[in-house]
Amino acid sequence: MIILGVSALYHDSAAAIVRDGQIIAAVQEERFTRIKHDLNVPVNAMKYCMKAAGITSDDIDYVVYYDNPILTLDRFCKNILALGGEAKALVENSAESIFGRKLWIHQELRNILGKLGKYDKLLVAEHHISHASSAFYPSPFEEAAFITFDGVGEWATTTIGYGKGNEVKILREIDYPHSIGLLYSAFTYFCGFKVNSGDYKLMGLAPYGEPKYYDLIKREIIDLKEDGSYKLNIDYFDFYRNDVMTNEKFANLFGGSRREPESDITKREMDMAASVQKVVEEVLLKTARYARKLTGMKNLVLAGGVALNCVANGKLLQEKVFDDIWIQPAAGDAGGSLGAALYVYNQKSGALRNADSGQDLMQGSYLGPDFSAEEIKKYLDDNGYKYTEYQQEDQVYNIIAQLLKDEKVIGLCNGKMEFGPRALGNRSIIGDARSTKMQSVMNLKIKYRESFRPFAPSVLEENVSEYFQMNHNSPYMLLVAPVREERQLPFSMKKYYTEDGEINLLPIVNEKRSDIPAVTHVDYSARVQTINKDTNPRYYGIVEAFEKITGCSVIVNTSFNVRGEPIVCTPKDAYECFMRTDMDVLVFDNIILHKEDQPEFKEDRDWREKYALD
Amino acid sequence: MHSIDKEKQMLLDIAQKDFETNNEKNYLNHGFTDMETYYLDKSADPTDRLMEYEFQNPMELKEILESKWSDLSQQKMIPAILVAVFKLQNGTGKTDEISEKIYNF
Repeated sequence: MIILGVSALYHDSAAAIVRDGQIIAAVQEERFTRIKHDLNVPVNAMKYCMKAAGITSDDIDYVVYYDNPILTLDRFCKNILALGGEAKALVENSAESIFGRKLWIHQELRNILGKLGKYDKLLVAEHHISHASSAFYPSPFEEAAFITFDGVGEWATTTIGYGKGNEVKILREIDYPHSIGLLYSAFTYFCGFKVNSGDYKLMGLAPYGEPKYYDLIKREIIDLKEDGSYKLNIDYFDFYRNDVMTNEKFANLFGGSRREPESDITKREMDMAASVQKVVEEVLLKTARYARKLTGMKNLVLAGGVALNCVANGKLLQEKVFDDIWIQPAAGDAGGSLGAALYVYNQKSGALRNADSGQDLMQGSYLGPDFSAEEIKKYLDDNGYKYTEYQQEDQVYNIIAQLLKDEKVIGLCNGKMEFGPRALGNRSIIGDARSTKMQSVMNLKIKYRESFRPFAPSVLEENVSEYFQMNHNSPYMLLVAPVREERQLPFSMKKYYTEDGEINLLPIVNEKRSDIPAVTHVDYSARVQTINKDTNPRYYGIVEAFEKITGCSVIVNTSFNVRGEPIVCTPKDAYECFMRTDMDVLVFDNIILHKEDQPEFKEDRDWREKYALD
Repeated sequence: MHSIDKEKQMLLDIAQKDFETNNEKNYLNHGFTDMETYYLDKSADPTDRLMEYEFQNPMELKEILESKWSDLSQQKMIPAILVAVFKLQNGTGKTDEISEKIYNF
């Protein structure tokens, strides 16, 4: 049985294909169109998935969309009725998208595919069932509780339930407008970042601040119950009637207007980030405790955009509310395509789900396009780009290891592209984690992004506890843990305070905070990726070779892109990104390119105009 | 995209009337409520949250919406929604035979 899952028309459109319960391919549309968070129907992603499965649309049994447009329309209309004349902006902003596209998703998909599966009928799965399914079915657990948190999907914003065998069942729900995802996004917006793409920035900013507003948020904005259920005081928000998240009352509560994007970040934003982060962690922990009691399950799976908050996930792991947890790497809407496809398979196939292997089904999340040596060389030869191809993989690993040791910054475009927002070694920029200059070099000269943002470590799986206070695999970079105490160096942010109580961010990142400073955040935390030898032997081989010559089995790993650009997909994307930045070396499997060997790189148009700042 | 201004205004007029006469049903209630829990209990809901989604023209959508909405104020919105859907999908921006039928609903 072949099922094509599609997510589209909100953000992060994607397609996934499942054959007899196995995930064959999954990819976001943005990687092809080069439009970050592309929301359009994922024509390219669907085509890639069919190609990867070696099928045409005639071979598909079911096509499933990850959201029910009628339920979304229901919310839209009730919102209008609840607002009366105040609904004008809402109608202006959303009517055409809902009436003109979302309700007609079946027709748009039919126009592309010709026929919607063997019955030529589109299936729609509910939004949070898609999320829950993306978390449970690929997990290594026979049965598990699930929690989904996102901004909103149809009506629901939070669900709790369980997965067991082929069944996924929602038991509790919180509905719009009460949403922990929208609460977090409101703070993202108010602190001058973009909703969705800026949520990671707010999380990265939090350790610079103090949770000074925590009590205020709890008193005025969110009523949080012991069981994790909550209600927002919508007096402080505008998202339900406008295209902005917060209102004047919210601004007054926090002492003034919203930070202008790209302006200086002040202590207020840092403290707001720390405060809302603390609230989100509390919501997650209380919800998890309730979910355990409600379901009686030992294991927990998570999905929905809020499940990408790896700091909160790390706290959950630390608190041991559940025996084990597993998080869908494409936890946001992109993963809904996969969840919907797996849900249909488990409802329709009649085959019993089996999680005996103890392994998850995500294959490291390496589910996207790859390119043969011939394809790569043809692209390089056609354009006159200089490279060296090596026959032995070990030789490549040793060369890369030495380059890392020499503090070179290296782009890796190896094998299959990752599904989800994280680069996990196949579309990554890597560097020496021991280097004190690496964080600011990578932020300012390679990624062209804000200097305060931390980088993540990749570590050989078996060595994780040598470096971090963590004894758990984190293959998808979704758990944060502290660097081990004996590796930490004395560090205080106090000396970076200016006379007016602000913090000077830039020099902080250059101060050594541990013996792996490039991946140690100001609170000694790190967003860990563990590398498994079987799942990604090539990436493992690079870090192992680095360990042999340095004694260190940790490197810096950041996504292969510049600010505002989707992660690179093709050799062309990778080469262009390599040449636009101060990266030193580019690697395609066994092919290595050095910057100094390359011909002058000219573009008709400044690439900075191509990618809007995120 | 073609203009759906008339339909947008129709939706707003219905909403305003309902808002003025029936605002106690407003689910966007303000402030906090002294409740033990804010969870909605969904354990009795059907497990199957999958449906076949198909309609060829707005008149079929009308049946789906009528079955979904028993509330009169929402039912009143259906014609405006259907005409907007039809215009956007049909790409004509004109009220032709089908949308006339909807107007007369």
